[in-house]
Amino acid sequence: MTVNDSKFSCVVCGKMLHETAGETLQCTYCGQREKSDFTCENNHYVCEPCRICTPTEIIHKTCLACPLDDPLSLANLLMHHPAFPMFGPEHHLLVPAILLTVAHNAGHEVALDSLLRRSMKRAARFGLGSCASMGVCGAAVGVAIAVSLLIGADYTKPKERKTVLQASASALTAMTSLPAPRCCKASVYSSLSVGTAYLRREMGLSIPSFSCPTCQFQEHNAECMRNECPFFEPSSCGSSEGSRQ
Amino acid sequence: MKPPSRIRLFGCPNPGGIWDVALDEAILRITREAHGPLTVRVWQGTSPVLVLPQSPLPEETTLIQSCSSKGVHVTRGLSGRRLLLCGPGILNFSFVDESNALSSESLEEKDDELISLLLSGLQPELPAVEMGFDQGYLSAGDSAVGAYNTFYYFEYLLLQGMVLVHGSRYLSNPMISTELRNFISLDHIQSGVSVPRLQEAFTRAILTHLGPQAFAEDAGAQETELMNRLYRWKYTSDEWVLHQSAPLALGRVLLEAYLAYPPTTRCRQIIAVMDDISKAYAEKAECRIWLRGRGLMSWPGGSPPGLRPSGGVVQASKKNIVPAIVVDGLITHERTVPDYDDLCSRIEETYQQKFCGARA
Repeated sequence: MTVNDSKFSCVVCGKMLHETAGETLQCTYCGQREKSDFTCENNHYVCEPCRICTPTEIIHKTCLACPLDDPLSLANLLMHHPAFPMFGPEHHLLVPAILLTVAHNAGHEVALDSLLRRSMKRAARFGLGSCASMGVCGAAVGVAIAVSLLIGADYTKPKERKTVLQASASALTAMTSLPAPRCCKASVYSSLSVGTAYLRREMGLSIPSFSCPTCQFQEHNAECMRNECPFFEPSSCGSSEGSRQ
Repeated sequence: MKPPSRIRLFGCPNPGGIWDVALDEAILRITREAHGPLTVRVWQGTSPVLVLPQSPLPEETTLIQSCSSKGVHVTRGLSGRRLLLCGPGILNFSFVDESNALSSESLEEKDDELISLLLSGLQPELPAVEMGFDQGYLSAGDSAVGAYNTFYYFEYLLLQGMVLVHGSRYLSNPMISTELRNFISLDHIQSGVSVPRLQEAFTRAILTHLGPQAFAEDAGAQETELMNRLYRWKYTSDEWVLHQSAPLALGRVLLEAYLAYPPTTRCRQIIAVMDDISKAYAEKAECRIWLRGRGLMSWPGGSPPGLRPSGGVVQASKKNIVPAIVVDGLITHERTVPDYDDLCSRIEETYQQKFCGARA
């Protein structure tokens, strides 16, 4: 049961971790540099504070430090963190935070720290199973939250209000084509795809678009709908190394 | 299918009954620990036992009362939806083998292989009957004559089942016959059939077809010791039989740690403490380490089949208490490395309270 008896795999890429000689490495999540203990062949390192973060904390820290403008890479990085279960309302917080971050990184000037906090506070109102119990998936609402914060909408502004309502309607409509029952990973991919398209089209931001990415969690999801899901890719089953879940 | 290298022919050192059910689980756990090969048992119990499925039956309370009044012991099986019986007139069988839990193959394929192996052994003794199986039932023509359940445990499985050979005495119990409607006893279809003959035929078939790699072996000391603990702490306890609540550890205190992945410095210190405790308290404590987002340490994918984290670990996971120490389902240390002596005294205290008080 000792640490040496166990093999750990990288939470980011799934490659096997090896112990380091204590060299200073940069945390893949928060960007802090510190004396490392484990790393993989791709030099991924997760600092000690990030390893024990809550989902809210890791989203906030990573989004603030992340230079990426690619929403898909950021989503996969965060969803691979051990604080993220396969399913759960943590995914609701993810979507607006990622959209705000990529908008910021693509040159849209926003007070990111403050907006991240506000977006996650709003998204947290949508709890577990809100998709089936209220007819609004928290991930889809996340698109509307991000749009609302980016355009400064409130209920007295007709045009902005309409835009926000359209954002959630588009994200929810896209989600209705996903197979039942729920899959939080598929909901995140679908919502981010709608949100990214909005940022590119309406705000003219130059961020990488995507429509149908291959799910990086399909192998570890016991409830995966497999061929019925648009994000399932049979050929990638068994190709990922390690044992990410 | 790989040839079995062991066949167990009634190795239960106790007088049958519920002991047999406990022995099956003991064989499962020990075979899995030793990465052992396929192990097969066929036997006829000495006293009648009703083995309830893991999923409660609708009329379960009445069924238990009805059986108790007629001297039929009742226990609960590990899994499944089928009611099983053990006792005179019934051929019981169990298989312990590697499952397909770690491969992409269907889990059911392994069940089908094992049941086919059983039927190929029995069929020569039953020329008037066409045996088949479907969804946990063994059939002769249109009627059910037996049933089986499968329990998945880590990368192994335990398939337990029964064939009603002289089953009239059980089917005359109105409650049992209600649960086993559409069942008939094999001796109604095939005259001259007997449990020992079927048992012999099955064993012979395995020895003939699978050659010298198969041999008979009785339960060893390790299995007997575990069987005794399972019998005492699980299969005869009301918590398990009536409320489907499995004991956290069998006559021992369950010590769990919920740690970060990969382990932080603090978590690695906890692993070292757990290691020392597991050596010093092998008799009194069972240690498990759960890694956040990964499941059981040393298991490649999440929670292994048949083993779940205790309520305390679930709570630590929901509240993001990393690291956490959980003693017998209750969180005792949050985000700190426990002092070795403090943890030892908690284990001692819990052990004394739990096992040296009420049930000594």
